[in-house]
Amino acid sequence: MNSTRKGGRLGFLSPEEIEDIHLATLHVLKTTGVAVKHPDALDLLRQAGAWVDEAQGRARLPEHMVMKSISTVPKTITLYGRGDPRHNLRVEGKRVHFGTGGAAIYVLDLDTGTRRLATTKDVSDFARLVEALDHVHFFMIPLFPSDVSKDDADLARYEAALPHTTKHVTAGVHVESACARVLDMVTDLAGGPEALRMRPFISMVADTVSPLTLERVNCNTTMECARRGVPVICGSEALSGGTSPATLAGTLVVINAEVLAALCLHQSTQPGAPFLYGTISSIMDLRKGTYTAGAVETGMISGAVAQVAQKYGIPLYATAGMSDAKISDCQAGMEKAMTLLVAGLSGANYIHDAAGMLELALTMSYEQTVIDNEIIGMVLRVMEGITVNDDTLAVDVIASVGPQGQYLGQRHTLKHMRQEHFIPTLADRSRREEWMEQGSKDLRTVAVEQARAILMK
Amino acid sequence: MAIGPHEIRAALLSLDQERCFGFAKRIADGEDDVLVALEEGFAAGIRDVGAKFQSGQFFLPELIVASDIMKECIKMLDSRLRREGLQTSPKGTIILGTVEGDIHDIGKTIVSTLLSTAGFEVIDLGVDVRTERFIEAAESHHAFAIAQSALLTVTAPRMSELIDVMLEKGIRHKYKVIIGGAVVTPEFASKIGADGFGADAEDAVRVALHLSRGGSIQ
Repeated sequence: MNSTRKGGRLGFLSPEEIEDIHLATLHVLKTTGVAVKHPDALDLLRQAGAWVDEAQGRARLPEHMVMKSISTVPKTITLYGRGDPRHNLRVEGKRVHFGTGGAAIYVLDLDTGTRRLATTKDVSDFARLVEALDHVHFFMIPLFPSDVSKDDADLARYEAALPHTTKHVTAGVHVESACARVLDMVTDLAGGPEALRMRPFISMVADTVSPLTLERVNCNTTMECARRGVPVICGSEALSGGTSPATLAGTLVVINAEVLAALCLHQSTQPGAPFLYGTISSIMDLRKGTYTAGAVETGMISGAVAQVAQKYGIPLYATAGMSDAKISDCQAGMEKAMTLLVAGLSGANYIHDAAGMLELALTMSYEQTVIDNEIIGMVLRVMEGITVNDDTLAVDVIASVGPQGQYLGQRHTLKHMRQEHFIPTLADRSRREEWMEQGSKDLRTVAVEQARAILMK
Repeated sequence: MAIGPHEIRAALLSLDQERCFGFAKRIADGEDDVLVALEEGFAAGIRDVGAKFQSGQFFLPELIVASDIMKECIKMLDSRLRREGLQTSPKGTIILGTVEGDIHDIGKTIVSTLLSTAGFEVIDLGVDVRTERFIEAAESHHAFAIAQSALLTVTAPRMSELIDVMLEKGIRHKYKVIIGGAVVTPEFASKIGADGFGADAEDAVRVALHLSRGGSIQ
């Protein structure tokens, strides 16, 4: 498993610029504040030192309160799997992990290739698929199934996913009462509240609503998870130009303000409870005012937010690898590769939406999940970088081969080739004649076959 | 204690050079059945390596290293084979080289390795090999085929030169001619009257096996 690779080779912001974003954020939190849609949350924030305007439902957060929350939040979290210890993910510093994400309502049917509504069986099948893919390190439940009622869907998603993967599972809830139901269910599965607190094998998402709003359902999830010691992810989905400034710097301030406000609520509920700083931020396509998933700026925002989160030492949940393409075409490959590479190199810790997502985050694709596994493999290779030491400089080997020789039969080659060279399982490198003999298949066709083979097992 | 051929086979499959050399030395100096060791040990081991290569589990460097180990071991057994008047039975001897004026080595080496692991005795003449040397080697080693590689457009004509010289000498019927390399096409092969064309290393082995079984022009 490649889950301990470190990023951080890429940085968009200088230390001074990170400080500027930090100070602008403190100013916004103190003067503008955030809307808080849950009375208990507002109470907690007031008790912790916030200036609360009841009539507005607004909390303004002084600097000392924000800094205190940053100081009490854990700097390292382990998100556990249930089985192979390699599936336990240490989320901290610049360690990078990739996984699925989202709440798509459609899937591309593996047999017909057409779009249809997602079902709970799809949730199970994607869990099985992800279980088999080495470079997809966690399973964030990527679908919202249509075959259960909205009230039951949140619990049904977990129940459909957990039996089919031993990797860490993440998902939020969309109905307030579902949070306790899900947490009760996983508490039983863990063998009690302490067991769950010690080895949380699920984490929950409780996103903010941009601009600067903590919604009721997500306030509830944030507080409930804090009390039970289950890691919670508070992500901002600021859309640059729509729900945050058109400038990426301004968007970074909005993201930071929302997430730090959620952090204050979380740490006010239970100091020291595990929390992930989150971004799902992208841009709005201002030509028509539509959401975009595959914008290259999404990767840039994730990369810059990684630097901000690293300044605070708070584990980061970021987004990359989405696309607005409707099928697994060049657009999908282009958009995904760009954002995955940037986010990975930035050292974002828990990168979701990284596999399988198409069409403005509305549709999950089995074959695309397999393709993205390969893209992530390539990104992990880039992140690995170039190791320079006496052994890798290979001066002795160069001498023993000499001019006009070759390195194929060298033990040195055997020793290093599998680590130094990424070996694709989908990308075709054969001669045209061979490729034709094997049916002249494009990447998508090969990926469909691979996905089918995994799901047949 | 006698050496079980399965031990040799396993040692070769794990590319354990030290262990393979140890076995070869003990067999060379001892009483073990040398033909059993060769056939059920080394040859079986190299077939296992070849199968792993075909299925993608082994990469080319692993195949080459295994083949180098095996060749070295067979050399170590040579004196005992001769002493006892025994012979190994390869599928036939192939003379191999890159044509004069061309110093491309790697593709030819890959072909050499694959032919060896497929059971042929390969005499690799190296690169920049004159036409006469191919013929001399074929005559002295009683080869059944000559395989030539050319990577440059300007050196490919050397291949028709080989066939012309063989015709002049009246020995064209004695040897199959197999050609390959980046600039060589099936059309070129049939135009100059070669017996076989290998599109890549694995294809070259397929052609060699076909010709060694008495097959005719593809």
